[in-house]
Amino acid sequence: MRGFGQRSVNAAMNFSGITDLPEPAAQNCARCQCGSLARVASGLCVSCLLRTGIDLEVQSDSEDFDALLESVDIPDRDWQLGNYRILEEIGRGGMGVIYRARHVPSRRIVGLKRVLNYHSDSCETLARFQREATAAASLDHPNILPVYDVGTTEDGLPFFSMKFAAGGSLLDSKETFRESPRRAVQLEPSTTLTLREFFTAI
Amino acid sequence: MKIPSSRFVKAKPGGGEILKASQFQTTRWSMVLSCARTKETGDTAERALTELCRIYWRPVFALICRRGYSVADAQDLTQDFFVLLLKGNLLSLADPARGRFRALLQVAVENFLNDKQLLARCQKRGGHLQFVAWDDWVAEAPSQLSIYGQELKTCPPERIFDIRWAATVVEQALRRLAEECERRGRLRMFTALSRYLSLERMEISYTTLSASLGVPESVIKRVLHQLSVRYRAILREEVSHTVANPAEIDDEIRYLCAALASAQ
Repeated sequence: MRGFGQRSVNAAMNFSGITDLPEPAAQNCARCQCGSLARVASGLCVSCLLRTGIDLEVQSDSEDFDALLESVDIPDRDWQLGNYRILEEIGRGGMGVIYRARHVPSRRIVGLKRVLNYHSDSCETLARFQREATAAASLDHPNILPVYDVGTTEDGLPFFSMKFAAGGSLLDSKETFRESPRRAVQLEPSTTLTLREFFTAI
Repeated sequence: MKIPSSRFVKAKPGGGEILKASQFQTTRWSMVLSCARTKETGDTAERALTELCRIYWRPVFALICRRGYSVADAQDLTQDFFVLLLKGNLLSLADPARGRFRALLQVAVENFLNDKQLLARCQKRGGHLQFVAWDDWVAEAPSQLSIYGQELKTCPPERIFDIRWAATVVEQALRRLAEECERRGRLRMFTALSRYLSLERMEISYTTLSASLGVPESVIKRVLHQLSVRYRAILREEVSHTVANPAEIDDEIRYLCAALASAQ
Protein backbone atom coordinates (compact mmCIF):
# COMPACT_ATOMS: atom_id res chain seq x y z
CA MET A 1 0.00 0.00 0.00
CA ARG A 2 1.57 3.22 -1.06
CA GLY A 3 1.32 6.74 0.06
CA PHE A 4 -1.01 6.55 3.05
CA GLY A 5 -0.09 6.51 6.72
CA GLN A 6 -1.43 3.43 8.47
CA ARG A 7 -3.87 5.45 10.56
CA SER A 8 -5.32 6.95 7.40
CA VAL A 9 -5.59 3.50 5.89
CA ASN A 10 -7.38 2.24 8.97
CA ALA A 11 -9.80 5.13 8.74
CA ALA A 12 -10.28 4.44 5.07
CA MET A 13 -11.19 0.83 5.69
CA ASN A 14 -14.60 1.90 6.82
CA PHE A 15 -16.13 3.55 3.83
CA SER A 16 -13.33 5.69 2.69
CA GLY A 17 -11.98 7.83 5.40
CA ILE A 18 -15.20 8.19 7.34
CA THR A 19 -15.53 6.55 10.70
CA ASP A 20 -18.79 4.69 11.05
CA LEU A 21 -20.00 4.85 14.63
CA PRO A 22 -22.86 3.11 16.41
CA GLU A 23 -25.99 5.17 16.59
CA PRO A 24 -26.87 6.59 19.96
CA ALA A 25 -30.10 8.53 19.61
CA ALA A 26 -28.68 11.42 21.61
CA GLN A 27 -26.10 12.08 18.91
CA ASN A 28 -28.67 13.60 16.58
CA CYS A 29 -27.90 17.30 16.41
CA ALA A 30 -29.93 18.73 19.25
CA ARG A 31 -29.11 22.32 18.53
CA CYS A 32 -30.95 23.04 15.33
CA GLN A 33 -32.74 19.80 14.59
CA CYS A 34 -30.87 19.77 11.28
CA GLY A 35 -30.90 16.00 11.40
CA SER A 36 -27.34 15.64 10.21
CA LEU A 37 -25.39 12.88 11.91
CA ALA A 38 -22.00 13.90 10.56
CA ARG A 39 -19.49 15.13 13.11
CA VAL A 40 -15.96 16.46 13.00
CA ALA A 41 -13.48 17.06 15.82
CA SER A 42 -14.90 17.51 19.33
CA GLY A 43 -18.24 16.19 18.16
CA LEU A 44 -19.12 19.38 16.27
CA CYS A 45 -21.99 19.01 13.81
CA VAL A 46 -20.76 19.51 10.23
CA SER A 47 -24.09 20.93 9.09
CA CYS A 48 -24.26 23.48 11.92
CA LEU A 49 -20.67 24.53 11.29
CA LEU A 50 -21.48 25.03 7.63
CA ARG A 51 -24.71 26.89 8.20
CA THR A 52 -23.02 29.51 10.40
CA GLY A 53 -21.27 30.70 7.23
CA ILE A 54 -24.44 31.62 5.36
CA ASP A 55 -25.24 35.31 4.87
CA LEU A 56 -22.31 36.56 6.94
CA GLU A 57 -22.31 40.32 6.99
CA VAL A 58 -19.68 40.99 9.65
CA GLN A 59 -16.16 41.19 8.24
CA SER A 60 -13.11 39.72 9.91
CA ASP A 61 -9.61 39.95 8.55
CA SER A 62 -6.57 38.14 9.84
CA GLU A 63 -4.82 41.30 11.07
CA ASP A 64 -7.73 42.30 13.31
CA PHE A 65 -7.97 38.76 14.57
CA ASP A 66 -4.23 38.63 15.28
CA ALA A 67 -4.54 41.85 17.28
CA LEU A 68 -7.37 40.34 19.29
CA LEU A 69 -5.33 37.19 20.00
CA GLU A 70 -2.41 39.31 21.15
CA SER A 71 -4.65 41.26 23.50
CA VAL A 72 -6.20 38.24 25.18
CA ASP A 73 -4.38 37.03 28.23
CA ILE A 74 -4.78 33.30 27.59
CA PRO A 75 -1.31 32.50 26.35
CA ASP A 76 -0.12 28.99 25.73
CA ARG A 77 2.63 29.63 28.27
CA ASP A 78 0.13 28.77 31.02
CA TRP A 79 -0.46 25.49 29.33
CA GLN A 80 0.13 22.27 31.20
CA LEU A 81 1.35 19.15 29.41
CA GLY A 82 1.46 16.21 31.77
CA ASN A 83 3.60 17.31 34.71
CA TYR A 84 5.02 20.25 32.79
CA ARG A 85 3.87 23.85 32.82
CA ILE A 86 4.64 25.57 29.53
CA LEU A 87 6.46 28.85 30.10
CA GLU A 88 7.27 30.07 26.61
CA GLU A 89 7.81 28.92 23.07
CA ILE A 90 11.48 28.92 22.15
CA GLY A 91 11.48 27.38 18.72
CA ARG A 92 9.53 25.51 16.12
CA GLY A 93 10.09 23.58 12.94
CA GLY A 94 7.97 21.82 10.36
CA MET A 95 7.17 18.94 12.68
CA GLY A 96 7.17 20.24 16.23
CA VAL A 97 7.38 23.10 18.63
CA ILE A 98 9.82 23.50 21.54
CA TYR A 99 8.89 25.17 24.80
CA ARG A 100 10.75 26.25 27.87
CA ALA A 101 8.78 24.45 30.53
CA ARG A 102 8.83 23.68 34.23
CA HIS A 103 8.58 20.16 35.59
CA VAL A 104 6.08 20.96 38.35
CA PRO A 105 6.99 18.25 40.93
CA SER A 106 10.72 19.04 40.86
CA ARG A 107 10.42 22.68 39.66
CA ARG A 108 13.20 21.93 37.17
CA ILE A 109 13.24 23.99 33.98
CA VAL A 110 13.37 21.82 30.88
CA GLY A 111 13.11 22.06 27.15
CA LEU A 112 9.92 20.35 25.98
CA LYS A 113 9.22 19.34 22.42
CA ARG A 114 5.84 18.28 21.13
CA VAL A 115 4.33 17.49 17.74
CA LEU A 116 2.39 20.32 16.15
CA ASN A 117 -1.34 19.84 16.46
CA TYR A 118 -2.02 19.63 12.76
CA HIS A 119 0.37 16.68 12.39
CA SER A 120 -1.67 14.64 14.84
CA ASP A 121 -3.01 12.28 12.20
CA SER A 122 0.21 11.80 10.30
CA CYS A 123 1.46 8.35 11.14
CA GLU A 124 4.76 9.13 9.47
CA THR A 125 5.36 12.30 11.49
CA LEU A 126 4.38 10.66 14.78
CA ALA A 127 6.67 7.70 14.05
CA ARG A 128 9.54 10.03 13.14
CA PHE A 129 8.97 12.01 16.33
CA GLN A 130 8.96 8.84 18.43
CA ARG A 131 12.16 7.69 16.71
CA GLU A 132 13.80 11.01 17.51
CA ALA A 133 12.74 10.84 21.15
CA THR A 134 13.82 7.22 21.59
CA ALA A 135 17.15 7.81 19.86
CA ALA A 136 17.92 10.93 21.86
CA ALA A 137 16.96 9.17 25.11
CA SER A 138 19.33 6.30 24.36
CA LEU A 139 22.34 8.56 23.82
CA ASP A 140 24.87 9.55 26.41
CA HIS A 141 27.03 12.13 24.71
CA PRO A 142 28.54 15.34 26.09
CA ASN A 143 27.30 17.33 23.10
CA ILE A 144 23.74 16.03 23.08
CA LEU A 145 21.14 17.29 25.51
CA PRO A 146 19.87 14.41 27.64
CA VAL A 147 16.23 13.42 27.36
CA TYR A 148 14.49 13.23 30.73
CA ASP A 149 11.03 12.02 29.92
CA VAL A 150 8.83 10.85 27.05
CA GLY A 151 5.06 11.20 27.31
CA THR A 152 1.80 12.06 25.57
CA THR A 153 -0.56 15.03 25.88
CA GLU A 154 -4.23 14.70 26.82
CA ASP A 155 -4.92 14.73 23.07
CA GLY A 156 -2.59 11.79 22.60
CA LEU A 157 0.23 13.75 20.95
CA PRO A 158 3.74 12.67 21.91
CA PHE A 159 6.21 14.97 23.62
CA PHE A 160 9.55 14.65 25.33
CA SER A 161 11.45 16.78 27.78
CA MET A 162 15.18 17.39 27.74
CA LYS A 163 17.78 19.46 29.46
CA PHE A 164 17.15 23.12 28.84
CA ALA A 165 20.04 24.85 27.05
CA ALA A 166 20.01 28.39 28.34
CA GLY A 167 22.59 29.55 25.82
CA GLY A 168 20.09 29.66 22.98
CA SER A 169 20.25 27.99 19.60
CA LEU A 170 23.01 27.86 17.03
CA LEU A 171 20.94 30.22 14.94
CA ASP A 172 20.88 32.71 17.82
CA SER A 173 24.69 32.67 17.80
CA LYS A 174 25.16 33.24 14.10
CA GLU A 175 26.33 36.85 14.53
CA THR A 176 28.90 35.77 17.09
CA PHE A 177 30.28 33.16 14.74
CA ARG A 178 30.24 35.57 11.85
CA GLU A 179 32.52 37.87 13.82
CA SER A 180 34.73 34.98 14.82
CA PRO A 181 35.12 32.57 11.90
CA ARG A 182 37.89 30.69 13.71
CA ARG A 183 35.41 29.67 16.44
CA ALA A 184 32.92 28.57 13.79
CA VAL A 185 35.52 26.36 12.12
CA GLN A 186 36.60 24.92 15.48
CA LEU A 187 33.01 24.00 16.20
CA GLU A 188 32.51 22.09 12.98
CA PRO A 189 34.33 18.77 13.76
CA SER A 190 32.53 18.21 17.05
CA THR A 191 29.19 19.17 15.49
CA THR A 192 29.73 16.74 12.63
CA LEU A 193 30.76 13.90 14.94
CA THR A 194 27.79 14.54 17.20
CA LEU A 195 25.37 14.52 14.30
CA ARG A 196 26.89 11.28 13.05
CA GLU A 197 26.40 9.73 16.48
CA PHE A 198 22.79 10.91 16.57
CA PHE A 199 21.82 9.73 13.11
CA THR A 200 23.54 6.40 13.67
CA ALA A 201 21.31 5.95 16.72
CA ILE A 202 18.20 6.74 14.67
CA MET B 1 1.56 11.20 -19.56
CA LYS B 2 -1.03 13.27 -21.38
CA ILE B 3 -4.47 12.11 -22.24
CA PRO B 4 -7.46 13.96 -23.60
CA SER B 5 -9.10 15.21 -20.43
CA SER B 6 -12.32 15.89 -22.24
CA ARG B 7 -13.36 12.34 -21.45
CA PHE B 8 -13.34 13.20 -17.77
CA VAL B 9 -14.93 16.59 -17.82
CA LYS B 10 -17.87 16.30 -20.14
CA ALA B 11 -20.10 19.27 -19.64
CA LYS B 12 -22.62 18.93 -16.85
CA PRO B 13 -23.79 22.15 -15.31
CA GLY B 14 -23.12 21.59 -11.64
CA GLY B 15 -25.52 24.13 -10.30
CA GLY B 16 -23.32 26.89 -11.64
CA GLU B 17 -24.69 30.24 -12.63
CA ILE B 18 -23.48 32.08 -15.72
CA LEU B 19 -20.97 34.70 -14.66
CA LYS B 20 -21.04 38.40 -15.10
CA ALA B 21 -17.58 39.72 -15.83
CA SER B 22 -17.92 42.44 -13.20
CA GLN B 23 -18.51 39.84 -10.51
CA PHE B 24 -15.36 37.93 -11.26
CA GLN B 25 -12.95 37.89 -8.36
CA THR B 26 -9.67 36.11 -7.93
CA THR B 27 -10.29 32.88 -6.10
CA ARG B 28 -8.47 29.66 -6.92
CA TRP B 29 -11.27 28.27 -9.05
CA SER B 30 -11.99 31.56 -10.78
CA MET B 31 -8.29 31.78 -11.60
CA VAL B 32 -8.38 28.32 -13.18
CA LEU B 33 -11.51 29.24 -15.12
CA SER B 34 -10.08 32.57 -16.19
CA CYS B 35 -7.03 30.86 -17.69
CA ALA B 36 -9.28 28.35 -19.39
CA ARG B 37 -11.35 31.13 -20.97
CA THR B 38 -8.33 32.89 -22.35
CA LYS B 39 -6.70 29.59 -23.39
CA GLU B 40 -3.66 30.49 -21.34
CA THR B 41 -1.74 27.97 -19.31
CA GLY B 42 -0.41 29.90 -16.40
CA ASP B 43 1.75 28.66 -13.55
CA THR B 44 -0.48 30.54 -11.15
CA ALA B 45 -3.58 28.76 -12.38
CA GLU B 46 -1.83 25.40 -12.22
CA ARG B 47 -0.74 26.12 -8.68
CA ALA B 48 -4.29 27.12 -7.83
CA LEU B 49 -5.63 23.85 -9.27
CA THR B 50 -2.99 21.83 -7.45
CA GLU B 51 -3.88 23.54 -4.20
CA LEU B 52 -7.57 22.78 -4.75
CA CYS B 53 -6.74 19.12 -5.41
CA ARG B 54 -4.49 19.03 -2.33
CA ILE B 55 -7.43 20.08 -0.18
CA TYR B 56 -10.21 18.12 -1.86
CA TRP B 57 -8.67 14.71 -2.60
CA ARG B 58 -10.63 12.94 0.13
CA PRO B 59 -14.08 13.18 -1.54
CA VAL B 60 -12.59 11.62 -4.69
CA PHE B 61 -11.04 8.81 -2.68
CA ALA B 62 -14.33 8.31 -0.79
CA LEU B 63 -16.33 8.11 -4.02
CA ILE B 64 -13.94 5.59 -5.57
CA CYS B 65 -14.10 3.41 -2.43
CA ARG B 66 -17.90 3.54 -2.48
CA ARG B 67 -17.89 2.40 -6.08
CA GLY B 68 -16.67 -0.92 -4.75
CA TYR B 69 -12.90 -0.77 -5.10
CA SER B 70 -10.65 -2.03 -2.33
CA VAL B 71 -8.80 0.58 -0.32
CA ALA B 72 -5.53 -0.33 -2.05
CA ASP B 73 -7.11 -0.06 -5.51
CA ALA B 74 -8.87 3.15 -4.55
CA GLN B 75 -5.57 4.64 -3.48
CA ASP B 76 -4.00 3.77 -6.81
CA LEU B 77 -6.97 5.03 -8.79
CA THR B 78 -7.07 8.27 -6.80
CA GLN B 79 -3.39 8.72 -7.55
CA ASP B 80 -3.97 8.07 -11.24
CA PHE B 81 -6.97 10.37 -11.40
CA PHE B 82 -5.15 13.34 -9.90
CA VAL B 83 -2.02 12.81 -11.93
CA LEU B 84 -4.14 12.82 -15.08
CA LEU B 85 -6.13 15.79 -13.86
CA LEU B 86 -3.09 17.87 -13.01
CA LYS B 87 -1.08 16.91 -16.08
CA GLY B 88 -3.97 16.89 -18.51
CA ASN B 89 -5.50 19.84 -20.25
CA LEU B 90 -8.30 20.40 -17.80
CA LEU B 91 -7.37 24.07 -17.64
CA SER B 92 -8.25 24.64 -21.27
CA LEU B 93 -11.45 22.62 -21.02
CA ALA B 94 -12.83 24.17 -17.86
CA ASP B 95 -15.70 26.43 -18.71
CA PRO B 96 -17.38 28.95 -16.40
CA ALA B 97 -20.74 27.60 -17.54
CA ARG B 98 -19.78 24.27 -16.02
CA GLY B 99 -19.97 25.80 -12.59
CA ARG B 100 -18.23 24.86 -9.44
CA PHE B 101 -15.07 22.93 -8.77
CA ARG B 102 -16.97 20.36 -6.70
CA ALA B 103 -19.40 19.58 -9.50
CA LEU B 104 -16.69 19.39 -12.14
CA LEU B 105 -14.46 17.18 -10.04
CA GLN B 106 -17.31 14.78 -9.36
CA VAL B 107 -18.20 14.51 -13.04
CA ALA B 108 -14.52 14.06 -13.89
CA VAL B 109 -14.00 11.21 -11.46
CA GLU B 110 -17.25 9.48 -12.50
CA ASN B 111 -16.19 9.69 -16.16
CA PHE B 112 -12.73 8.48 -15.22
CA LEU B 113 -14.21 5.40 -13.52
CA ASN B 114 -16.60 4.79 -16.40
CA ASP B 115 -13.83 4.89 -18.97
CA LYS B 116 -13.28 1.14 -19.04
CA GLN B 117 -10.33 1.29 -21.43
CA LEU B 118 -8.42 3.81 -19.40
CA LEU B 119 -9.30 2.12 -16.14
CA ALA B 120 -8.04 -1.21 -17.44
CA ARG B 121 -4.79 0.46 -18.48
CA CYS B 122 -4.38 2.04 -15.04
CA GLN B 123 -5.14 -1.22 -13.22
CA LYS B 124 -2.96 -3.32 -15.51
CA ARG B 125 -0.12 -0.89 -15.00
CA GLY B 126 -0.53 -1.42 -11.27
CA GLY B 127 -0.75 2.21 -10.34
CA HIS B 128 2.82 3.31 -10.87
CA LEU B 129 2.00 6.96 -11.23
CA GLN B 130 2.65 9.00 -8.12
CA PHE B 131 0.26 11.69 -7.07
CA VAL B 132 2.16 14.84 -6.18
CA ALA B 133 3.48 14.74 -2.59
CA TRP B 134 0.69 12.44 -1.47
CA ASP B 135 2.13 11.78 1.99
CA ASP B 136 2.37 15.49 2.66
CA TRP B 137 -1.22 15.99 1.61
CA VAL B 138 -2.38 13.28 3.96
CA ALA B 139 -0.28 14.69 6.80
CA GLU B 140 -1.49 18.23 6.28
CA ALA B 141 -5.14 17.36 6.25
CA PRO B 142 -5.97 14.89 8.98
CA SER B 143 -9.69 14.23 9.13
CA GLN B 144 -11.90 13.29 12.05
CA LEU B 145 -15.21 12.93 10.26
CA SER B 146 -17.60 10.54 11.93
CA ILE B 147 -21.10 9.58 10.91
CA TYR B 148 -23.51 8.00 13.31
CA GLY B 149 -25.98 5.41 12.23
CA GLN B 150 -26.75 3.17 9.32
CA GLU B 151 -27.18 5.73 6.57
CA LEU B 152 -23.50 5.63 5.71
CA LYS B 153 -23.92 2.05 4.54
CA THR B 154 -26.70 2.89 2.13
CA CYS B 155 -25.57 6.25 0.76
CA PRO B 156 -24.92 6.28 -2.99
CA PRO B 157 -21.38 7.25 -4.09
CA GLU B 158 -22.31 10.77 -5.14
CA ARG B 159 -23.85 11.41 -1.70
CA ILE B 160 -20.72 10.13 0.01
CA PHE B 161 -18.75 12.50 -2.21
CA ASP B 162 -20.86 15.46 -1.08
CA ILE B 163 -20.74 14.54 2.62
CA ARG B 164 -17.00 14.12 2.45
CA TRP B 165 -16.76 17.44 0.60
CA ALA B 166 -18.81 19.25 3.26
CA ALA B 167 -16.61 17.85 6.01
CA THR B 168 -13.47 18.81 4.09
CA VAL B 169 -14.63 22.43 3.81
CA VAL B 170 -15.37 22.61 7.53
CA GLU B 171 -12.19 20.86 8.61
CA GLN B 172 -10.09 23.04 6.33
CA ALA B 173 -11.62 26.17 7.90
CA LEU B 174 -11.07 24.82 11.43
CA ARG B 175 -7.50 23.89 10.57
CA ARG B 176 -6.73 27.38 9.30
CA LEU B 177 -8.29 28.93 12.39
CA ALA B 178 -6.24 26.64 14.66
CA GLU B 179 -3.09 27.61 12.80
CA GLU B 180 -3.84 31.32 13.17
CA CYS B 181 -4.28 30.79 16.91
CA GLU B 182 -1.20 28.60 17.20
CA ARG B 183 0.94 31.17 15.40
CA ARG B 184 0.01 33.68 18.14
CA GLY B 185 0.54 31.22 20.98
CA ARG B 186 -3.19 30.77 21.58
CA LEU B 187 -3.69 27.12 20.67
CA ARG B 188 -4.84 26.26 24.17
CA MET B 189 -7.48 28.96 23.84
CA PHE B 190 -8.58 27.60 20.47
CA THR B 191 -8.75 24.05 21.83
CA ALA B 192 -10.93 25.17 24.73
CA LEU B 193 -13.27 27.42 22.75
CA SER B 194 -13.55 25.86 19.30
CA ARG B 195 -16.05 23.24 20.46
CA TYR B 196 -18.52 26.08 21.06
CA LEU B 197 -18.23 27.61 17.61
CA SER B 198 -21.65 26.54 16.44
CA LEU B 199 -23.50 26.99 19.73
CA GLU B 200 -25.75 29.84 20.78
CA ARG B 201 -24.77 32.01 23.74
CA MET B 202 -27.40 30.54 26.02
CA GLU B 203 -25.98 27.05 25.46
CA ILE B 204 -22.49 27.93 26.68
CA SER B 205 -21.30 27.82 30.28
CA TYR B 206 -19.16 30.94 30.43
CA THR B 207 -18.56 30.38 34.14
CA THR B 208 -16.88 27.03 33.49
CA LEU B 209 -14.81 28.41 30.61
CA SER B 210 -13.82 31.41 32.70
CA ALA B 211 -12.58 29.17 35.51
CA SER B 212 -10.82 26.86 33.09
CA LEU B 213 -8.98 29.58 31.18
CA GLY B 214 -8.46 31.98 34.07
CA VAL B 215 -9.99 35.08 32.47
CA PRO B 216 -13.26 36.94 33.19
CA GLU B 217 -16.49 35.80 31.55
CA SER B 218 -16.68 39.05 29.61
CA VAL B 219 -13.37 38.20 27.94
CA ILE B 220 -14.58 34.70 27.09
CA LYS B 221 -17.73 36.15 25.49
CA ARG B 222 -15.76 38.64 23.43
CA VAL B 223 -13.14 36.13 22.29
CA LEU B 224 -15.66 33.44 21.48
CA HIS B 225 -17.68 35.90 19.42
CA GLN B 226 -14.61 37.02 17.47
CA LEU B 227 -13.42 33.43 17.08
CA SER B 228 -16.80 32.54 15.64
CA VAL B 229 -16.80 35.51 13.26
CA ARG B 230 -13.28 34.69 12.12
CA TYR B 231 -14.22 31.03 11.59
CA ARG B 232 -17.21 32.01 9.47
CA ALA B 233 -15.09 34.38 7.39
CA ILE B 234 -12.49 31.66 6.79
CA LEU B 235 -15.23 29.16 5.94
CA ARG B 236 -16.67 31.51 3.32
CA GLU B 237 -13.19 32.17 1.97
CA GLU B 238 -12.61 28.44 1.59
CA VAL B 239 -15.94 27.97 -0.18
CA SER B 240 -15.25 30.97 -2.39
CA HIS B 241 -12.12 29.24 -3.68
CA THR B 242 -14.26 26.46 -5.15
CA VAL B 243 -16.84 28.58 -6.93
CA ALA B 244 -16.48 30.84 -9.90
CA ASN B 245 -18.35 33.75 -8.44
CA PRO B 246 -18.57 35.03 -4.85
CA ALA B 247 -22.32 35.33 -5.32
CA GLU B 248 -22.45 31.52 -5.34
CA ILE B 249 -20.99 31.07 -1.86
CA ASP B 250 -24.30 30.96 0.01
CA ASP B 251 -25.85 28.62 -2.56
CA GLU B 252 -22.89 26.27 -2.32
CA ILE B 253 -23.11 26.16 1.48
CA ARG B 254 -26.85 25.52 1.27
CA TYR B 255 -26.23 22.74 -1.24
CA LEU B 256 -23.79 21.05 1.13
CA CYS B 257 -26.15 21.45 4.10
CA ALA B 258 -28.92 19.85 2.04
CA ALA B 259 -26.61 16.98 1.11
CA LEU B 260 -25.89 16.38 4.78
CA ALA B 261 -29.55 16.55 5.72
CA SER B 262 -30.60 14.09 3.06
CA ALA B 263 -27.98 11.66 4.30
CA GLN B 264 -30.22 10.80 7.25
